[in-house]
Amino acid sequence: MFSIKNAGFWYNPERVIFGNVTFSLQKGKVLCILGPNGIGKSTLLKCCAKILPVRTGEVCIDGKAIEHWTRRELAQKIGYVPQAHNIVFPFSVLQLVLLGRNPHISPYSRPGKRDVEIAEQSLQSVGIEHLKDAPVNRISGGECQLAMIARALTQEPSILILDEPTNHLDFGNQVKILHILDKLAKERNISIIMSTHYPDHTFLLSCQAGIMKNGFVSLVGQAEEVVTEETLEDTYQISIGVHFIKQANRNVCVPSYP
Amino acid sequence: MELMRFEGMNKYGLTAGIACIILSPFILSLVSLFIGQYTLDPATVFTILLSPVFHPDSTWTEAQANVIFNIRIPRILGAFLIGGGLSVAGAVYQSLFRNPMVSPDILGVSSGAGFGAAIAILFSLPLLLIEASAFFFGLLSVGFAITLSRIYKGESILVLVLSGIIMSSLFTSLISLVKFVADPTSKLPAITYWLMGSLSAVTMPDILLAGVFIIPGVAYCILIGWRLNVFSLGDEEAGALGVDTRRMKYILILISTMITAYSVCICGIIGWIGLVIPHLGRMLVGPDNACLIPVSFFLGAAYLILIDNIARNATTAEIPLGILTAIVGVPFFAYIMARRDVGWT
Repeated sequence: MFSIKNAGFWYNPERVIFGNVTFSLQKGKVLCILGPNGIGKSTLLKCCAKILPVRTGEVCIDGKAIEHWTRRELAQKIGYVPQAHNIVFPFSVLQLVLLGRNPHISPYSRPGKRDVEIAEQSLQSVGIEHLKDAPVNRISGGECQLAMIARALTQEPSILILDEPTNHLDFGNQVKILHILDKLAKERNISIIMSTHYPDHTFLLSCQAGIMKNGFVSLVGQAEEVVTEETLEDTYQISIGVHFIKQANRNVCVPSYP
Repeated sequence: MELMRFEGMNKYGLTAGIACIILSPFILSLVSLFIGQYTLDPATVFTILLSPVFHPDSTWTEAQANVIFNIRIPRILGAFLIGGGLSVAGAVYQSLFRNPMVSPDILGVSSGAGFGAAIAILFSLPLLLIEASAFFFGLLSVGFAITLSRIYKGESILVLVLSGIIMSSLFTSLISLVKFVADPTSKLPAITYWLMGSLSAVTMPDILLAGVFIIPGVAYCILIGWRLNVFSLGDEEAGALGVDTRRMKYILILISTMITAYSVCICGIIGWIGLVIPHLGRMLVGPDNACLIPVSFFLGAAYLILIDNIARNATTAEIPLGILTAIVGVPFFAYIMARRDVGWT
């Protein structure tokens, strides 16, 4: 189980990015974090993955604060998919995904047969096993995102943290990625924390949602309860209608044009 | 799994290719024993080589044995270790700094060491002190670069590279200053010649020191080769994959700096190899460092042995290595570049 309690972070004490974030997430649940640009969603996710240290409060996994975990131990628990990735060297997709085995491999050795099998399974579970020999800088943005998710899965984590996984992707790929994440949560019992700019995603996944505003995450709860016309308007400063669409059997957000 | 990248080349073809790369510096070393200004026929060379073991009746002169043991062997070993070491340092830096345009002297080690040598020559110090001074200033320059980047409070690679470039240009200017004040008839040519690089003064004790400064570092880099791939993803992603990048970054900088400072101190500034040999390796075996690091070592070794042979045999006077590395290398590099698809887009 993942929990974060009274967490705060700042680069400069006079400009606190967030000051009092508290929420927890059960195994196999998905949490989408919404919030306007620049509010600190990425920073929060980095703190959750110990890429940045929380200044106050604590982040716990299975009841133990992550500052007491070594990087290696933590990398066996948390898979992190960053928002932007620029891979400099033209590794093949399989080579890239195989790097996810790093926390399971002793310092001076290299991946063996079993590791390659796990990497190939990860490629299969995101549906890009046919790309395994392609250089990563020659595949599309959507495929690259899937490869990054596959790499995180290769860590065999119990928690996945994804920073805007649907960023820059076309409509079809967005839904495809969400579907894959949903499946991972349900079938493998992985807890997923992701940030997104599309409130609709929370309805699609019918997941937990949290809205980040003014330095804390308010209202963590079931999407249908948290993502309402009032909270959306408050968050994005435009009026947004939330309507139930019978054909889709879920809520849909409709922004009004000013 | 590093074998999978090569379109159009089967597993056995690649294994054979790598075997050739590993063998090439050894074959070249052997050939190099026979050629040189002082002609020796192969039979004599072999008898001399085996003499310490079998003690046959002496059929050669003292001078011949001297050429083999005190001139050619140290020189060949020097080229082997320095060529290989610089290539490994370059490959490691390219991953560490996430930039394929980086060479081992990016943090200023070569200019620092060059300055150390130049000032020692200016004061007419003996060879041993010239080497020591080169080594010291090489490390000093990198130390300054790291300190500078920390003053800036930037842990980022970009700040470190910038600091390196700053230190590098400072020491380059200081080299010019030393040259400017040096006596133009004796000191200036000596400094210039040193900076252009030559293996002609390499002695056996130099090679033994290489055992300390190059071999353990190269062995360490080969051991952590695969992990360097994780490094090349950048601090954040590497951290998320369980690598403590901070500590390892400094270990790797120290290793590369030792290798480069050592090579400048015994044979002057040899550019090009540290930048281009890793690329050549990448073209041949792909970007996976598990394979690339050892391949770079043997490619660089073979390359410098070859260049050194040209340097000492092409004309009656020795041609400085710094001149030849690029002149010979560029056409070869262009050829490989045209032939192979590297995956850069």
